[in-house]
Amino acid sequence: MYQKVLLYVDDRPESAKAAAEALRLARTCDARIFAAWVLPQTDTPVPIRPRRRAGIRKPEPGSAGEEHAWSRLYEIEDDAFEHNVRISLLLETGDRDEKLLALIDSYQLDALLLGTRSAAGWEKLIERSPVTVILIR
Amino acid sequence: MEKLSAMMVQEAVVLDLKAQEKVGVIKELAQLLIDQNLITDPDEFFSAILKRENLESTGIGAGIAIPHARTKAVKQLVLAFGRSLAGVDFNSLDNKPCYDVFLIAAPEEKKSEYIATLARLSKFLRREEVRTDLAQAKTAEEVIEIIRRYE
Repeated sequence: MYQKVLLYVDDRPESAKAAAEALRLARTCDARIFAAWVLPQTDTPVPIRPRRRAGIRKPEPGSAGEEHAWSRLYEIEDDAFEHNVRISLLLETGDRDEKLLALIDSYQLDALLLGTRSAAGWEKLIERSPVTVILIR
Repeated sequence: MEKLSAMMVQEAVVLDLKAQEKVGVIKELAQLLIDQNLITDPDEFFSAILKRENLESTGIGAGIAIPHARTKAVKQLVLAFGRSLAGVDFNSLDNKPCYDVFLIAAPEEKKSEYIATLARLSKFLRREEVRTDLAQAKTAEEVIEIIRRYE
């Protein structure tokens, strides 16, 4: 079935579910995971939205810093190691959709797995992806 | 979390690694930590670090590798550093040789510190100026000073 699965990682709660599903899938198919986090360009203003209470501004999902991104990737790597699953970590910077499509092409990946509450915001990627896109809610 | 420079073991800094392949490099660096009595069970430590390396390369690209293990065989979270002048094939994703190798040894119960150290080190080593300075360091003290300066 799948041999090389791209797991898109960010700090949404659904992303943790997607990581667990990717490990399950990898164990079932004896697949290798490529876990990728895409940081926004540093010269691009980081989108922020006001928090309703106390006027605290909270970063949008996906806008967390590089160290946080690596932490999350290494947590997933540690889980993968416990389950004997092969995993490579990738930290990219730039446009999310373009980077994911480039990774699929560069590493000849055969599925993209991501955690999201809905397909909204992912339509263009899904339409352009040459491989199966699996959404985990 | 403790600073990276504080985790560095000065006696475990090698500016010209003798080994020319990745298992040899890992053993060379691990042996320096063993010599400092920081590893209680060398066989278990080698086994843990090589098991992870065999499952997937710890070469993260840009000439960097971070072999790592979290095991009961380690007393405290420490870092060793080795520089290869010729470059070592770590089977990195970018297919390029590794010149800077940081080995992380962590006690089993220190999972969050271990993850944080990996994350901080990965971020730190992506900076080109850090890699340039490490390439020019002439002593172990200088390596630790570079880490202290940039972290």
